[in-house]
Amino acid sequence: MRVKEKSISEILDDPEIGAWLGCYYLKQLDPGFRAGSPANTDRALAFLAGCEVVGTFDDLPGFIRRVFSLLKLEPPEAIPIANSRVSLAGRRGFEPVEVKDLTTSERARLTAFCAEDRVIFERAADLAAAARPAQAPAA
Amino acid sequence: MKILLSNNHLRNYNGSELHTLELASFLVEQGHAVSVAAFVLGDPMSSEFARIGIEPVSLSSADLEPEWDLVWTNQITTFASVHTQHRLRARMHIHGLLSSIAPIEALPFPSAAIGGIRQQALTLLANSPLTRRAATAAAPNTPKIRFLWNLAPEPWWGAKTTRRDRLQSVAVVSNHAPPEIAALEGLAARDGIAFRVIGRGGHDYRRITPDALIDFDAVISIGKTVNYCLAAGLPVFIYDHFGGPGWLTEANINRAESRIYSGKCTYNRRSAENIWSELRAGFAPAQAFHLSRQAWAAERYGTGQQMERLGLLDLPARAAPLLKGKATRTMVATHVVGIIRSLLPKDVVLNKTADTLVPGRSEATDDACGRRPPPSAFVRPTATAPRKGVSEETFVFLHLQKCGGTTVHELLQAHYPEDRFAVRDKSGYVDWNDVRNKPGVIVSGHTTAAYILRSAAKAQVCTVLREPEDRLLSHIYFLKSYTADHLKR
Repeated sequence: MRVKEKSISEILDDPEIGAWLGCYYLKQLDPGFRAGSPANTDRALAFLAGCEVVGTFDDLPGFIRRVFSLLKLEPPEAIPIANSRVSLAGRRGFEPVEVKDLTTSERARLTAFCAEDRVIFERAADLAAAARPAQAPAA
Repeated sequence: MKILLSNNHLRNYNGSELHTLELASFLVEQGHAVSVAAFVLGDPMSSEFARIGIEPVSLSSADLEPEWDLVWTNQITTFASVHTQHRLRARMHIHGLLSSIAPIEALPFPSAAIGGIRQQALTLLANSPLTRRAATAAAPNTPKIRFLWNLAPEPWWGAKTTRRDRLQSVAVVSNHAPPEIAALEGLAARDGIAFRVIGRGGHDYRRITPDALIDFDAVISIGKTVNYCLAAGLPVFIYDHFGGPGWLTEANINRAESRIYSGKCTYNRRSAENIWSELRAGFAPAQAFHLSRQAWAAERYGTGQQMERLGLLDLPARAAPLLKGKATRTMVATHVVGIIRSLLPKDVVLNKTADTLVPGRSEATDDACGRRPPPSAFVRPTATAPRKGVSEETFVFLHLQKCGGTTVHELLQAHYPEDRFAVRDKSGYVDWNDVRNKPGVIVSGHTTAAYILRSAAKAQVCTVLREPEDRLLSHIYFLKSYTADHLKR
C-alpha cells in the first residue's frame, strides 16, 4: 500500500498498517508486551507510574526542566524545537505532503482508534500535572 | 433490604466519600437498612454518616454479617476485601468505577477471572464514558458496564432561585486549587466581586451543600460539584488543576460530561487574567444556559432517577458469593495486590501474599490529585531497598515517536560527550547490547518498556507523551512525507 496517496481513513482501515500504528503507547509502555498478543493497560500504567519523570508534549519545556533537574544539569535557556516540518525541509528523502483539515468522520475514526492510548496519555498527563511546580500567576 | 456500602476511605470531603454518603442517605430515606464500611475512617465523614443514623465500621476488623441483599463496593481494595476475605453473600453485588486514572479505581479483577464471576449477580457502574473506556481497555471481555453518573441529590434540584444581571460573587470549590485560580482572589478584590474558596487549603473546608453555594452567582469547580450546579441552575465554570473548558455551553457539555467534568476534555491551563476575563464576559450566557439545563440535569443525575432507570434495586431472589471458587478469589487478590504494588515507591514491599490478603488500619492520606495510597497494612517499608533517583543508575530517555523526543535528545547531546550515550541506529533505536556493557550510560532513543525492564531494571526512566490523536496524525504525516526508499533505509 502506498501510504502517500491514501487518506487517513484508508490508512487506519488497512489491517496491516492499522495494526502496526494502533495502541502505540500501550505497546511501547507495557513491559510484558510481545508481538502477537494484546498489550495490557494495567502493566503499561504501572510502568508509567514507576518512571522518574513523565511529561506531555504541550509542556515540553516543563518536562525538559524536570529531566535536567534529575540529571543535576542547569536547565537550558532556550529550547530549539527539532524535527519540525520547517527544520526538515530540504532533507534528503523528505517530500512533505499538504496537511489537510480532518473531516468529522475522520476525527471520529481517529478518536476511536486512539481510545486505548488515551487512557495511557491521560494517566501521563495526570502524573505530569502532579509533578508540575506551582505556576506563577500572570502579572 | 439489608445493604452494605463500602469505600476505601470515609474521612474527608472527597468525591467517592461523598458519593457513598449520598447513596447511603438516599437508601436510608427509602427505608432500607444500610451499613457502611471502609478501611480509613474519621471525621468529618463519620459525623456526616452519624447524621443519617449510620456508624461506619472498619472493613479490616469488623466481623461483617455473611449475607446481604445488596453489597456495593467502590475501589479495588474494598472489592478484594469483601469478595476474597469476607466472602460476603448477596442477592446483588454492585461495583462502582469512579475514575479513569486512579489505579485504585481500576477494574478489580483481571480478564482471566471473568469466567469465575457470577455475572448475573454483578452490576458494574462507571460514572462516565471515560471511566468505562479505561476499564474495558484493561479487560476487553469485561461484563457490561452501565453508567451511574455522579449524583445530584434532590436538595440541589432548582436550588438557585435568585439571579443577578452582573457577576457579583464567585465561589471556588476545590481541594487542590491551582495557583492561577488562587490568584483570582486579587482580581476579584480589584473588581469589587466577592470571592471565596471552599475546600482543603481554602477559606473554609466543609461539605458542599446547596446552602453553601446558592448565594453565589457562579462557581468554579470540577467533578461532582458540576453535577450539583447543573441541577441547581447555578452557573459553573469548569477549571482546576487539569485546566478546563471554562463555561459550559451547548457546544462543549457532551465532551465535558464524557470526561466527568474533570477539565480533562481540554487540559487547557491559562493565566489568572485570562480566566477572569472569560469568567466575567461569559457570565450572562452561562446563566441562561444553566437555567435551560437544570431540569435536564436533575433528571439525568438525580439519585432516585438513576437508580430507577438502572433497576438497581430489582434484585434476584437468591443470595450467593460473587466469586465462584478459590482459584477466582486468588486471581482477584493477585490482581489487586499487583495494582497496589504498582502504586508504591520502590522502597516499600507488600507484607501479605495474595492468598492471605488482610487489609488493616491506615494513616494513608489523599494526594493532590485524589489518588489514594492503599491501606498501610498492605505494605511495610524496608530500610535496604534502593531509593528512586540514585545518580549512578542508568538513565533512560524513552523516546516515543512524534512526541518531541528529538528536541530532548539534542539537548542532552549538547551536555554530554558522544561516548556517554548508548549506541543508536540511524533511525534512533537503542542498541541494548551496547547498554549492557556500559554502567551509567545514557540511553536516549526509541525503545520499549520491555527492553528497559529486561536490560536496565533499575534505570531512571523519563518519557514524554502527546495527545494520542495528534501523535498518530503526526506519525501518519511523517510516513506520508518520506519517500519509500528513505523509509526502507
